Amino acid sequence: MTDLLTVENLRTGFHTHGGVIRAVDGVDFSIAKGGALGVVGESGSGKSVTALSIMRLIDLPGRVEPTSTISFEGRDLATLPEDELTKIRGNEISMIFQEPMTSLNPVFTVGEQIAESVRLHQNVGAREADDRALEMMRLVGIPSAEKRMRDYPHQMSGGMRQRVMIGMALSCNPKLLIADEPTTALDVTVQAQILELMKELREKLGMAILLITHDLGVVAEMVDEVAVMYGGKIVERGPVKDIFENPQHPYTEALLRSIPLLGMRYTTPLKAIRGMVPSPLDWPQGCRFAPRCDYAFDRCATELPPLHVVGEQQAACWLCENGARDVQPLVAPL
Amino acid sequence: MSTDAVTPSVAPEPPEPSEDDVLLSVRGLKKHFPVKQGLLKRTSGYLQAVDGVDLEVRRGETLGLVGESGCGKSTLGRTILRLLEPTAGEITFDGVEILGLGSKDMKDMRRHMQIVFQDSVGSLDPRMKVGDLIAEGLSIHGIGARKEREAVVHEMLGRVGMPPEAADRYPHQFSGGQRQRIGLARALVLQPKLVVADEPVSALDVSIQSQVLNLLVELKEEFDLTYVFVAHDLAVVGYISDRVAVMYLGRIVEIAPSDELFRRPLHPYTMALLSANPEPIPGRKSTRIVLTGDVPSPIDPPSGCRFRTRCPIAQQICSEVDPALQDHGLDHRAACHFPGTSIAGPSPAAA
Repeated sequence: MTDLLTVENLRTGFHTHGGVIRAVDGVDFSIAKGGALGVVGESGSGKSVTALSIMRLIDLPGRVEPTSTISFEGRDLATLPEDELTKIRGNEISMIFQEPMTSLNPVFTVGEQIAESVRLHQNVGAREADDRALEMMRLVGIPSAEKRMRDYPHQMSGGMRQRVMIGMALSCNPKLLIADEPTTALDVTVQAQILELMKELREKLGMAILLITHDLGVVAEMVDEVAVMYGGKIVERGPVKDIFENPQHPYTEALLRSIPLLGMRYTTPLKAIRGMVPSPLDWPQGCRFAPRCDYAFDRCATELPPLHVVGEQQAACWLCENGARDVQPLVAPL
Repeated sequence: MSTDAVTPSVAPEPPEPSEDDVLLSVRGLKKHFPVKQGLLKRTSGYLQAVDGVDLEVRRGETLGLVGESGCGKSTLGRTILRLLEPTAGEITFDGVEILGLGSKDMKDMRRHMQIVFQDSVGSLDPRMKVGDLIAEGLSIHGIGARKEREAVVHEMLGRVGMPPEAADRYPHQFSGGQRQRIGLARALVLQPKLVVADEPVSALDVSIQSQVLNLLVELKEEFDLTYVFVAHDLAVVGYISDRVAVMYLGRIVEIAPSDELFRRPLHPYTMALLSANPEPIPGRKSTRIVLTGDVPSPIDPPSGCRFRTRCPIAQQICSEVDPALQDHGLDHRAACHFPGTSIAGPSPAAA
């Protein structure tokens, strides 16, 4: 399969008086046409800034450094003039966010808002745009769509609002959907509905998905490939099954062992990762995870490890320099 | 759920309940909030946040309250501490009916019942130093002289894994996980019998969440505590709790020991929650039960069983008769007319 999006050496920094915050510090990945990549990480890992950088939605004092390339079907989004980028945003690449309430305009009905995005991006009349809006509302499974078109965002539940956002994002048949924590604000049963919907639509419309989330469970269900971010870098990536069954980077392993699985009990203490996420103003020298890592040795404190190839996976850890690391398999009690 | 699933660690069996073993007991508890509308703010209805809950919290156990937003779990947690005055019902704490207590007696009682909140920013006064925040309970209850309190504060900080210097700093100088530790120190300084923990780890990153969960378990042992642990995350609640109560629209729909609930869920809502829980095990969820629709409004809940509007197995009787919590053995109770009926083909945990 050919790559739809290839990101190379992405660096996004925020130039503040206190220094440069290197939120994303050299990230490479690619997504195949119709593929699904999950980017996981905790707060401050740089996952959301990565997503925003692709759309070049970074405001001053932030900027995507000129050495970065974001190649989307042969065009470099990092250097594309603003007016050409506008044609791609919302049209070929769409984005949905965590909180649909703040992304929707409270004074227009949801129908008007979907129709507006259709009119802006596709050369169609008002009537046709309205029809398309209705079609999208039905596609995303909003019951009595004709009636709900006239609802204002506040009249809808969180789950319904997220459906509207997805409808709007998909109204122009994007090739890539960037979803930044799309279900984090939702209850589990509603989250299950939205995840099912996204999977179904991906299959139906053949679009690629870049899913940004902190939730390892959501990633396991939604994507084929995973990139784990820590300290502004990708520390491990590979097929979802390999990463979850045989995590090679100690951070990935610790993260997986730190969450209670259904059926686990307090008599077995959880694996806690000591300390805190380092500050992007002052990343540690060497491996950024080394100060919190149980396996760290002298070299980790001084030399930043590159991504080492381990089978289908790649892990940025010195322990993987000569192939796979021995990892105890993770057991699910239920 | 497969019954022959092997659990690597079996938690100690919770103690058999007897009169003495019940620390807190709640009967017919209701908390309704008036809904005001219009210019004159007339009461147009009541939001039935908690609507008829019977519950026992056993001495030394951790009881989990789990449910989605608006199910009343937080309101229940606050009402049992009388932080919210209930609309109806009885609350007996350590053998004393606390709703009849006057303000002075209630204040004395509060020493023994403390709460930890989710929002560690909103629950710690930004203008107070951490040391004063932790000592606040001691000074309110007039315990110890200033010097003694200082010593207690330093000891508490140590117990929650913070350095003594933290006492002289302000809440904003700490991270979310550290603030949650401060909140715990503040709750435990009075050596309470009961601690209600309201979503204490929900706002934290996963790596920090596990630190705080482990700390909660250690402190419980050390201080001989009883917890009521309120959260929306079923795996987290199941992990830390001896027993779990599942709530839906102001009611408890199922309550059982944690292992038992996961192995043999009886209420369709519990089954749906278990199946919706995203687990970091790729390829596991082949058949997922997806509930349709949203939770109905607690202002005007459905007749009969409140879950029936979203229930895949609802029958005529479900809209007519409100099912009571019934005993199904093994300390397991569920409020359903058709308990244990599978709501999807293969069981959700069958990998």
